[in-house]
Amino acid sequence: MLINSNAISGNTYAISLTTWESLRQYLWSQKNVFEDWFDLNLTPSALLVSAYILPFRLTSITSKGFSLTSNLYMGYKNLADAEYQTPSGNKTHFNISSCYWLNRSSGDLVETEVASYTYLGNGYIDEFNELPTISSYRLFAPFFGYINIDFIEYIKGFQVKYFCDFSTGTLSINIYSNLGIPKTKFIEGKLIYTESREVGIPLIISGGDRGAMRDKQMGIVNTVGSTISGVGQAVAMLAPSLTAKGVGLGLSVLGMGVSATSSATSSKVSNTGSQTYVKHTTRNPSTGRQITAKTTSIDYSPSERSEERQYEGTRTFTNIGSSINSAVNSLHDLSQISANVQATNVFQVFDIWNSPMEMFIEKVTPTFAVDYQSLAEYSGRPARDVYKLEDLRGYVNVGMIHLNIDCTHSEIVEISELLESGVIINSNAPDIIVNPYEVTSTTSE
Amino acid sequence: MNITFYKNTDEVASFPKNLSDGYWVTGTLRSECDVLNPIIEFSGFNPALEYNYAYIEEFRRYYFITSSNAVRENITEITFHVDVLQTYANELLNHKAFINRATNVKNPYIIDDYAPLKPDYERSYIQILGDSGDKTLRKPTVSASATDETAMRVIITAAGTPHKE
Repeated sequence: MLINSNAISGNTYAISLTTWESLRQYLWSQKNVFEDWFDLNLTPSALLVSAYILPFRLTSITSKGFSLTSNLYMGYKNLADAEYQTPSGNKTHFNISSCYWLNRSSGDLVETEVASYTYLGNGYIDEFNELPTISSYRLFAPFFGYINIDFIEYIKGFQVKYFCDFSTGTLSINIYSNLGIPKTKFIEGKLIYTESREVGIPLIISGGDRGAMRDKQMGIVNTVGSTISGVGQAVAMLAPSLTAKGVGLGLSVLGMGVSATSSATSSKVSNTGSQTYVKHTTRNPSTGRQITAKTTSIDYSPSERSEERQYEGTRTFTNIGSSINSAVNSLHDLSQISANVQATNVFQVFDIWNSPMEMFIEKVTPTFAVDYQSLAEYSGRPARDVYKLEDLRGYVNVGMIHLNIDCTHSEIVEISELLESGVIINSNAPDIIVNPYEVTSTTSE
Repeated sequence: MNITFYKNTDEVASFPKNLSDGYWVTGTLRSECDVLNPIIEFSGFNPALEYNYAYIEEFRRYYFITSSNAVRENITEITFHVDVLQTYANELLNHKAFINRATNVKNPYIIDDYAPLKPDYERSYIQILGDSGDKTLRKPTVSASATDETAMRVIITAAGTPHKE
């Protein structure tokens, strides 16, 4: 099939989405590989494009069974299936689901939009120290960490929504501004923040080069079967078992089993006559080179480790000298790709839900380095507004006054000079009055 | 001429002043006199020895005693200066003015640059619980246990044709 493409580099090509659809049709329309699976004698893992575990449950999903064959049942029922909206009918497609809103309140995934977190802020600024230049307002959102919230959005309130495309394990967070009146009703405004992140933890099925791994695996099985036919039934049973169950899956299981061994380290055992040798190879993580660290007899001593061998694993072999161990060691080599994914990683992600969504407000509050009450008695507080003088008490500094008093000009001048330089008014005015046009609070210093 | 003397302890630039212990004297004005800065001679009485403030009824003004000079025996010359704030206190109190600073006024939108400041760090958490329009929101519950291996969490994507029922 010749497709219209542009070469980018090497074997990488750029094609259009239309061409991609044609290519996909071509690739997958030849046979129903589900039904012809065993006839093709391929690795079952090749059928699985991806597999990962999500840190939340899936509910309200159409129940459809998923199986490779009618007699080999895999996985659970109720797995998501074929929610992908194809542009036109009669197309072979992968199992892709549409996007769903994530109902954070129950930790489940449902079809309808449920998850929304509305925070209506204070609605007003009552302290000068809430100025954004000296304060930070951050939202902690599970899976996304801290997100800076604009001060104005914090004041007005905002809404947080999650949605998840679980065909790709991608979780997105959208934060909307509030167009409603503060402290009354949330009216969804513009999208002020969005981010997507993969939260599905990949479950390794097989390596990237499944064909090479299969060939190598089959070669091992054949070699083992031909050379150690007299050793015992174990290997003889191993070969058909691997053939039937599929190399990829078999390797994955093995990989998990040796997870305690460094993935960059391998050891091979060979038997030469009566002497048993262990060939140690290791990978230097700084250089990425796989090197032969040492070939030793079985009495290998950890104290002999070189700098390169410090990354060597600690796996031991109990049946050195037997051919079956050669097979096991080879399998170990092949299984190194899967040693990093362990159940504990997944469970740590689950724990994220236990972290509540919350605003983390950090204010750098300017506080007076002096006795401000005394200072205010002597020099007053900043007012910058129009007041009637009989409402004032104590020190008063007048910025501007229009005097309408029946007196001499020199007296008018003197009065103005006195008021603008500061006077003491002995009145019965209240102790503290706030800005008469913005009565918000009477917080003390 | 009627003059009432007082002992004033309030600040000069203050009004209305708390005046008490008035001492009333009467006399005759024998020469020209500046109303705003009168200079008056007193015979046999030096008011500056006990008083520092006065009200001259004929001038309808309050005065500070600014100085006293012994002119000759038993004659003291007192210099006054009008206290415009006290004299026109009632009129002034009814005036409105643009106030820069005042002791009993607080405008929270203005940083007081008179006072030195120091930073005080404050950290607070506001938990966002759910959607009900205010801070009293639903608390999220995590029903998916970390160890629940039967929950639907594993997603696999398979190649090939869709599964047929």
